[in-house]
Amino acid sequence: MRFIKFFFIVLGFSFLQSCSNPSLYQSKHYVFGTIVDISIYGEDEKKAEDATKAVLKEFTRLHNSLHAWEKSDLTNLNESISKNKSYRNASLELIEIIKNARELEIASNHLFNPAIGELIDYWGFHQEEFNPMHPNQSKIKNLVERGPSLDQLHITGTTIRSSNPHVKIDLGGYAKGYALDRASKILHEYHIKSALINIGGNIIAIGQHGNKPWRVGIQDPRGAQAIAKVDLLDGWAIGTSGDYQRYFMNDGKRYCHLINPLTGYPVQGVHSATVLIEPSQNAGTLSDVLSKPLFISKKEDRKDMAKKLQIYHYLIIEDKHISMTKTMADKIQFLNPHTQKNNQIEITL
Amino acid sequence: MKLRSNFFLGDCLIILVSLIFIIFAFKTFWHFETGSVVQVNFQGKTYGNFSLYQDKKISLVGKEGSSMIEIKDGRARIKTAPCKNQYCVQQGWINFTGQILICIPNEVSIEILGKTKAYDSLNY
Repeated sequence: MRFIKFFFIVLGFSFLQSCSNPSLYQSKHYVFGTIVDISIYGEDEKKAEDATKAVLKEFTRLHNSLHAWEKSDLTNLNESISKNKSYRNASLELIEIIKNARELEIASNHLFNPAIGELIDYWGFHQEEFNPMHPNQSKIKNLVERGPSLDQLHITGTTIRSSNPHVKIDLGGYAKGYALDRASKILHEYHIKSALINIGGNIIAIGQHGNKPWRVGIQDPRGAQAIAKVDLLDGWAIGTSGDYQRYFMNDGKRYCHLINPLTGYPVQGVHSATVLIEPSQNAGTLSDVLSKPLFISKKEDRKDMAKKLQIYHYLIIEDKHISMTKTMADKIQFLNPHTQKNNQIEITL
Repeated sequence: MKLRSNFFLGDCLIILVSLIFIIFAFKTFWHFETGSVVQVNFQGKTYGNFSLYQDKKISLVGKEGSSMIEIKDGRARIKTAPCKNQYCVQQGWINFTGQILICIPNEVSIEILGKTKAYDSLNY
């Protein structure tokens, strides 16, 4: 009898633990052509809802201001540039973004280049849905030779002018990360102490999930689930560039949306590049931007690129090959034991 | 009788400790838990939670057209979608906790729910 009593007590406790799920406010929305997922922990529902609404309002504002092909401040600027005209009364925010993106472009040896909108458009990625296309070699060569760069923009006061009419700005690798930083700021203003914001896979953490850190899964680029998990501490951000979200197949070849500005062609061979960014004012932005140069960079140049951009934690997944820095390896945990068996794992310094 | 009371004192403690250990180990190491419920999200809201242990087809008419979700044999998939790229359809069946299929154009996503989640959010 007593044994049975013990049994039920233990069983009871285990259920209690499973059911205890105090005040996690979660909401999903569709903005920036992707899913925005906001989790707020330990606040009353009204407060969490108000804060979420404020964040979404900000996201809608950014969407309308920075969209690359739907009418926005940015498309207006691009139109002026293409007509060799000065763009007047640019917002201070837009100017700051361009200046910051320009610094990152230069630091990444132009592998992160938000001025190649013409190329991205040519490949057909300036649409919600895109069709497989047959690239024309000479057309691509021509687009690359036009050499667009944010460096060709001249900013005086609130006026932006370009010395190259072929600069077409696309902040696809910047805006979502910037939005993360904005969201983090707004949630802090609302005195939210723990939250996790996910915009199309780019994630930033505020505080932690109760008494344990926020835990984030890293997508398996060739599966429907996570390949690994990592604890995202207060202020840290994570971002991945992958060939599995926006791509088309043609003649058995995969063409992803990440285009090497130097060759004009989509990167091939790399499945995903993940970066983990330490807390800073612009951790979100960096988590979005810095995965691009790593994804695009040649294998042998990767280490130097990471060093130059001060990326200490990264993970690259290629066919049957996973490479990561020692500091990254210390932080992540693979979810399936077969991952380590089926892939060659390389740890770099 | 004396034999039985001895059994209860020592052995119950061992059984208790073992049980706690098993529950602890299960919770800590068992990541690939098969889910029993699929959550269907449509246009930003939870459309509903459905048991995986039933045969069911759910048709959702969104901006792009009709998406069909199929539940069968403890698994779920997006059977048909109105979008061009068909990524969600090609990913096939899902049944592990935390697995998720997303159709952005038609604002449909399905996620397998379980008692424990291996992570809070997914980086992709």
